[in-house]
Amino acid sequence: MRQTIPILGLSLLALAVTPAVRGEGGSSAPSVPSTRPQTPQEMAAEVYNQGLRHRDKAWKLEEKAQAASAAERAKLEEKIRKQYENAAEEFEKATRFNPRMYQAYSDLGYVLRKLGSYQDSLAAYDRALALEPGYPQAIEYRAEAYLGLNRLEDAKQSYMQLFRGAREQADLLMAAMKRWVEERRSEPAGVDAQTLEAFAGWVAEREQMAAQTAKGSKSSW
Amino acid sequence: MSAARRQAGRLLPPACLLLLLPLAATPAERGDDPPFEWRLPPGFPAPLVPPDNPMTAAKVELGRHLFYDRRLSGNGTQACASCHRQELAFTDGRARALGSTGEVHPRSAMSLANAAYNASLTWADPRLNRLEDQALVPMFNREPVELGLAGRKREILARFAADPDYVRRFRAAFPGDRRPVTLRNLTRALAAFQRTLLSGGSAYDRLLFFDDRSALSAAARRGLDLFFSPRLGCSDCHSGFNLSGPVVHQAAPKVPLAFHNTGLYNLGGRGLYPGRDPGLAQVTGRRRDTGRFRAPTLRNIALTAPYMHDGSVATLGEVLDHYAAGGRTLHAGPYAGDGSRSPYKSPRVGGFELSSRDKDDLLAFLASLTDHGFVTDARFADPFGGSQ
Repeated sequence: MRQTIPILGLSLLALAVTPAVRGEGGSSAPSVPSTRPQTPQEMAAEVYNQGLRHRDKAWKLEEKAQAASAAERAKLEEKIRKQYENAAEEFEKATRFNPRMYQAYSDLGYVLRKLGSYQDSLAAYDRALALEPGYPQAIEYRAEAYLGLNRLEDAKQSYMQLFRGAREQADLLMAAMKRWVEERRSEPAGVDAQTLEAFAGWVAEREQMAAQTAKGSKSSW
Repeated sequence: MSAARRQAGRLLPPACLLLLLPLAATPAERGDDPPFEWRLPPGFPAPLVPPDNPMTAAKVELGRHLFYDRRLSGNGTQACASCHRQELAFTDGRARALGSTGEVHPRSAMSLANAAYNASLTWADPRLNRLEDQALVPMFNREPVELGLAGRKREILARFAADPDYVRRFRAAFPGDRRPVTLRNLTRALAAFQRTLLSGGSAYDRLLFFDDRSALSAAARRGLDLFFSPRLGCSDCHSGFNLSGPVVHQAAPKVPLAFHNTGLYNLGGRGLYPGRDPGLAQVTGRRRDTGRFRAPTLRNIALTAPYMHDGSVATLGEVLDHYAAGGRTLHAGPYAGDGSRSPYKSPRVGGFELSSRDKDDLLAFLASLTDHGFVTDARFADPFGGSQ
């Protein structure tokens, strides 16, 4: 998702009510007058946006890799990794400029997970949620990190929290949990069969309940 | 990367948002009143609130007082709460409601639980979708007389204007109004109170939203599966978080409406309904809308007997028998007829096999929809302690 933050808009953002307002990706930000030094928030936004650009490049390369041959995929994975590393660097810079920028912590957590640094990823998510409790993107991303670490009870609790308050993210996590089950069925990675199938049963049941409550009444008028 | 992730989070740039703020500001929104605390049940979306009636605590409290005040009837014998009793999930336990002058309404008083979410109001009026407007119906109806206020508007308002406590409450609810004791403000306060009547604390909710595996008995779990099964099709009409017909909320302010003929009557074999109540057809004038009514919420359904628009089905067990048969057959009497053969019956009411155990399981599930906290919550209770 595009979450670029216009640099000038950040000065106005300090006056705005909601902390979660972001500019749409691709919208041009007015240039900062050269006589005025950038504020820390502006610098944070600038590097954060850079981080998002690296992340988006990684996503595009991942899509390309899905259709690539084995040899090409190996090269692309190296490029993907590089983009995520660059993104991580920018997000870390953003948090140094603005230690309260929960979006940067959340996206840092995401890219660290993609790089396989699950514990560091969790620490970043925890920081994001300490700053913005209930931030659904961070909860969902963190839950995917829990799955990577086979922390299934934590993933379940995260799902229930999202189910209560952020159904869109709950649906994304449901999809991630289903993918995790399929991956573990072919490659257990230390998860015993009983635990796996118990979790799979829980996921199936919760998916059914989600479908039951998502459905609207069928119109007959 | 999924399309859902890529498309999420498209928001206005900050500058545009700031331009919009002054246009949207009401006194409440400008911060003259603190933001209203909804205390939404977990998993429930934020209700839709019309811009001309923002929620405030003072307004809700005024509405609660008015709701229970018998001075809101012409002869001073009834209040809204007379037909909408909290202990019965805001219904009255009668087949058909009784007005202040003794006239019997053709229809049953509907539960007000989660009325804030109803896409349309009353049993069968697609035109009525604002609680502010619906409040006028029982007040001014002449056929039948309900609260009996027709022609007595000034008199009723004078009652409240003469009460210093109400004057204070109206002023607090509508600051800035030079003369706040008006009919418009009265209905706005009633609507605000009704919007707070949110019920989402049943055993089913504990399972659904908190994954409490002990919340439902084994029978109720089986009943839940039956309820949502395609074979029975209950959830075709009673669906979503409110187990009802279509709902509106902040994220879904407009939805298609739905009304259903469940095969309750089939007078003369021509699909007719008794008396002067053909349901939706009364509004549309279309014969094919005969017998169509809104599917109400099933939350607290175990408390709201008797059932259907005219209270003609006494128990939940009989309701299940009705649907299992694909419609009701009345063998004798003025309303005799085989509802399952009504030409206007919804094709969704096709009947199904229902064993004795299935029936018990469904009843157990329906009982699990009772929110005991809702029917005893002091926030919704009679502020006069029954004395007014």
